[in-house]
Amino acid sequence: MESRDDEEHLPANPLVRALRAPGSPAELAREAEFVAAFRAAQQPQGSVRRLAGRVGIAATATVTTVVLTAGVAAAYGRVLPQPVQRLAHSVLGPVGVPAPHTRHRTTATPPAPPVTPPTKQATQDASPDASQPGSKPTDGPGQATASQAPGATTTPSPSNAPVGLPGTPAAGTGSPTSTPTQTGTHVPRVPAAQTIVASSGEAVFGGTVTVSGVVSAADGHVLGHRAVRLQERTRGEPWTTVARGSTAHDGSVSLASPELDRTTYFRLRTAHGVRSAVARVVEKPAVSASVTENGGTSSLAVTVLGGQPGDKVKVSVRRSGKTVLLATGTLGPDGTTVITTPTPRRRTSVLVRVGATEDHAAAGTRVTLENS
Amino acid sequence: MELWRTLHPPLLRYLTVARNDSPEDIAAETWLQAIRDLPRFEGDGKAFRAFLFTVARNRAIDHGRARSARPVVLVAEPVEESMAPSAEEIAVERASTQAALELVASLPPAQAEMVLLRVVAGLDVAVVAAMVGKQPGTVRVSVHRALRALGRDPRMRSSSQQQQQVQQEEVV
Repeated sequence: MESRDDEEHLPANPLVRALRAPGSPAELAREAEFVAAFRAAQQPQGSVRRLAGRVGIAATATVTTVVLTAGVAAAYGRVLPQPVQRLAHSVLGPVGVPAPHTRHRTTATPPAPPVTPPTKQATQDASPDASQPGSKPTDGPGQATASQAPGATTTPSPSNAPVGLPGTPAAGTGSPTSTPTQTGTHVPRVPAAQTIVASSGEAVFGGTVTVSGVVSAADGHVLGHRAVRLQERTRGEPWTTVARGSTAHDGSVSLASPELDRTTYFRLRTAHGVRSAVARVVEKPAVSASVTENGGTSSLAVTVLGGQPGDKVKVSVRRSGKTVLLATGTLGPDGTTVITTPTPRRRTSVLVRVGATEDHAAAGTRVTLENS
Repeated sequence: MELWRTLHPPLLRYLTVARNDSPEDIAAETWLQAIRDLPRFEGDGKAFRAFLFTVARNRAIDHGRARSARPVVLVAEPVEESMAPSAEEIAVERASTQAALELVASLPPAQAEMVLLRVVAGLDVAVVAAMVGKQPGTVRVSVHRALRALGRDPRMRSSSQQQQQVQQEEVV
């Protein structure tokens, strides 16, 4: 990838080797999603822009897989623009992407508007048999998906499909379009994007939130009557389904979360495995404290609902514009702690506060210390 | 998928350190934008790599502006415990890469970005210079000094020693 002279300027130390290490499983964890989405949809690139705007950044990952799906699926069908087809062939050639047709010029051309009407011929062009040298290539971008009739998507013909790719329908991953179809066969729209928004980014201990989203197909159409699951996870825990529902006519769905006892991540997932982005709802603990004064010492019995064992609880007071720490305690397994501090000579309002952690937000309450 | 397998990890590493704000989202947007702009692209794999990282940089800048303009509820997905390392070597390598990225992140932002584009993204000095608006000589010296300094960091050495131990054990 680089000239030798250029490369020699980089010292061969462990840092460079580490930075250039092959992708880790975590970094490549979404590969299966990409592969599965290869068959999930084919769509005009113009609609990708509309779709991206509709679903927003949150669903971009899904949208990207859809776009790649369209691009690669088109590459298999030799319907990408020449430079793109050539690049795809150089990279994906081993898995069956054909080279660009030679009768076209190889210079980059500006995007041309889709001109091919949804005809049977165009449909066949989108899924040519690679074994047929006379397969008609298309003339520019946009035609790759011009064969898609409104309301339907097409899948590459089995003869063009990459064989043995992990995660492809042939490998039995349950991709939305895993059912092989004949060339040009129209299949129903399948979910390709799922948005999500929580009614609030914060909830008190024991509170709930409503998580909403919209399911749409690759071409941007919203999909009604689709099963959707609300899944949640907390720190260190796997995703679990906590609610189920189905989309309304407008593709929207709203599901209520269970009561929150710690900061929780939510996502929506369709039956086809399309997942939304993740929304985080921070749990805000409820702090209460009672004071018992005895012989110049105040004992504060503190209860933190929504706190975690080991959380630090601080008692502080404002003096001369500064916060002065009086005492600290640690929550026990029952979410309580007793903190003792000398009773001030004058009646003093103090703040009892538990700090923010990965499991909850900061919260506090005020109590008054005074000699009895 | 080879294209994605080859370029997605360095893309994530670049975005994680240089643009520490939803790297997964920005990487996804980058692929979206790259595919969308492919019809106007012409060049070899080297040029595509520069093209992809240029798109990533621009998307990250846009993302940062948008995020500062409006707060959002959405957050990056927490790391899933999906594929555990199957061998100690992989674990050490991952730890080493992570340590290296953390070291690079400790550099001044501009220098860190030059290191990432030069080393992680594998771009030529001239390309990096054009992207960050510096002279090629500045980029070359800055990256060289950073790598020299970070290479002497004890954390990097310990990671390297761990790797060597694993390799020796495998030989034995």
